[in-house]
Amino acid sequence: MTVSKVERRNFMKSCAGACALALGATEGLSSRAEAAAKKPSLMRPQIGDRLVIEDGHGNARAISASELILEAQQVLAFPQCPKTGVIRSGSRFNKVMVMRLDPALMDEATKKNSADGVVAYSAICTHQGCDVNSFIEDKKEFFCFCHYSRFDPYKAGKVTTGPASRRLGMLPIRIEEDLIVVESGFTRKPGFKR
Amino acid sequence: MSLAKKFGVLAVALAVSPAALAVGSAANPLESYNPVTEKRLQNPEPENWLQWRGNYEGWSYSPLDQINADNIDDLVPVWSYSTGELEGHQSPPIVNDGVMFVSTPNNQVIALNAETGEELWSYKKEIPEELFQLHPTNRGVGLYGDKVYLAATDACLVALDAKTGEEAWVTCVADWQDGYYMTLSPLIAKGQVMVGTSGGEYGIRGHITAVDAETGEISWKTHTIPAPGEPGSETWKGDAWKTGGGSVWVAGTYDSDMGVAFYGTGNGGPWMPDTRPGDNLYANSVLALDVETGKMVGYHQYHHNDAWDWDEVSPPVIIDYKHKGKDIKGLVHAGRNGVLWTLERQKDGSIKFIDAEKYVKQNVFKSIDPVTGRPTYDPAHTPGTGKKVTFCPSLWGGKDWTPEAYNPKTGLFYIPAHENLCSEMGGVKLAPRKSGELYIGVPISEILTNIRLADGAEDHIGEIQAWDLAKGEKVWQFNIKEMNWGPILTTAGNLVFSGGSNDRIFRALDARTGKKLWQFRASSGVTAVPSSWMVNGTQFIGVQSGWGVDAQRMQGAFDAVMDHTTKVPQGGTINVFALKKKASPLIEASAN
Repeated sequence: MTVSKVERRNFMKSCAGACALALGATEGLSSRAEAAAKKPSLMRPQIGDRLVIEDGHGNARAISASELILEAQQVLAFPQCPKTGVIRSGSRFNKVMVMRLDPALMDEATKKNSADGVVAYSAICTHQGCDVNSFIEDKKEFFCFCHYSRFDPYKAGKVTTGPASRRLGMLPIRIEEDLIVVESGFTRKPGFKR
Repeated sequence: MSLAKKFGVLAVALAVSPAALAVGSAANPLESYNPVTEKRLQNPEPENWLQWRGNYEGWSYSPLDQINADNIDDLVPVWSYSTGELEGHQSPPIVNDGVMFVSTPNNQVIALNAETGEELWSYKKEIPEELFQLHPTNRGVGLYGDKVYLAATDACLVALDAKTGEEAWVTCVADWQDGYYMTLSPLIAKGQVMVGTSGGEYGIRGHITAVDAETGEISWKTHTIPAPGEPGSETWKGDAWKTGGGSVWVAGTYDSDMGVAFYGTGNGGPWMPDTRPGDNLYANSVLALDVETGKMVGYHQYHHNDAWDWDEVSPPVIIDYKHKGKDIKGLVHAGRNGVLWTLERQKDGSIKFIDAEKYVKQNVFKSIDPVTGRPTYDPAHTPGTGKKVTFCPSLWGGKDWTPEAYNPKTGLFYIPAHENLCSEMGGVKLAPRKSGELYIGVPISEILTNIRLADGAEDHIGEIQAWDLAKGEKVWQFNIKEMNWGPILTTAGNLVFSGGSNDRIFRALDARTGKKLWQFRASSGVTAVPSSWMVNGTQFIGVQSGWGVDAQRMQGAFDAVMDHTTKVPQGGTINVFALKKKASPLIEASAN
């Protein structure tokens, strides 16, 4: 288990160049110039970022795939630049839910963006932008507490119960040395329409 | 940006289009806009509704009686207007000499001809994309001079030109990224626009801020939770005060003779009492503030070290009356804690406890001190970290934010109440606070399923209660099958208007007896403050429909514990009514 203490202000200073260069096929950014203009902590997940649990005070712990129990409550995480340590928690739209599922029950789209049964979804409800931080075990659905929208983690975040009408975006991942690593940008823009 | 600013001449041309000229006798009421003065706020004309509860005292009372208990059968819709917004609509139509200003969720203000429904301008504040909070609503604009004031969800106060809807200035009073937001109607007195901040579920430290009405400069800021060394700080331990809550999300009432505003404060944060040992002043209190300086000149804490999420944000209603035979300068408050509190304003601004009476089932307070009003608690009904218990009333209280009303003609005080409703809740160990993240200490899943039904719930839960304050007795009550999130309007026509139920009904009762006289089924549930005004000799009743926020959440909690699922459609509409003989010419004119 990796534990790192991060002084976010220092990282923001040191990461400005490296993380801009690391920009890949990032969803939600209209151009490289726009992305580069953003602070690293605000950037959407970058290829190669690892997913970490952050406590809001700069303390981060990388999530290991092996610690995730099948269909246990989702873990809320943010991407972290491995080179600089910058946690991209400056934008709540970077918050993701990480969970282990049964690969045999996944549809093709879910399987494509998962790794060894682990999935990562945007934690921002597509209805009004609340955090999707609950899981209904018997129905196997993500649940938004604000307006009770539900999403199917086995069907690429499809809405099962409104008022949300748009599915959750997935964050494609891979597993490297038991760490969860970003494979590409969100499959759809995180957030909601006001 | 206002539409007028965006489209320039085109928008102005639309505002005075031939259609607008045809339906109203006044072509465009904005052309002769009547500035709002403090004198007018102190003595509002009967034909106007200048602030969210009609007057400084918080009565929600209209002296108009053209529409009355004898002719209410003839009340019909005159016009309606779709706000284009989902979520909970809670604000009243605020009317100044024929111009209506309505705020909606998503920080929108719409100006309309109050007689014809013609739109005059609209404004929507651009809000940070990532901002989300638990109560996306607004409870009404404030009017002063030639400006309209909106407290926005990004914790910024906006002043608009009343004639054009253009921004005059924007002053931010807190940081939305740290969990602060605003939904309340501004209170305006002595040239100060006063607002408070929400965010009690995010670990904020509440405050009330006064902003100069003309310049937008901050005049003063008074925190509801004292810092170390300040009076009241002895009721906190360690750093708990930094995240102590005490949010302020309902406008205060105001005694213009004293120059003192009375504000209610939310519960201490986080929710479980053992996370912040002590009395936790000035959470769950009423504060008396000198509006010129912000100095706290008095307070009364309704209950200490809250454990039940019983915000006491509704300010007390100012009523001078004979209480059980003795003249008092009263402050009357139907508490979320289920107790009807009677307090008295003292000359020096301090607040004296007078009386307390439970108005719904309440099993937490074992006693209330007859001199100080301080309650004692039953530990069996006091939750804590790792201690789950049941308690009544529920966490939404005997009455949540929904305003009461007072009718000087009937002498009755009307309370929108929840009866026969309890909660089961307990806390879990708190994770460290993250800025802008929920900081409650009670699992969300538990909050969503907290409702427990008491005996009597099978008959009804929602109530409108009428109290004779002089006798301290309940005179009548009107029952509603499930919830009642309906703010109340009462009029000199011996009427009480209110919605609040999940059947979308907006109803009129006889203010003297509680007998239902009239009802209208709206397009969505009605949780907004109704108001009344008069233009060109016609009295109007207006209310927004638009279900959402906590009414919707309570419905979800009901559906979780009851054997049903109730769908209440969403979407905001301004509904305006008048007597048929008055409405017909307006309806015919608008059709031509």
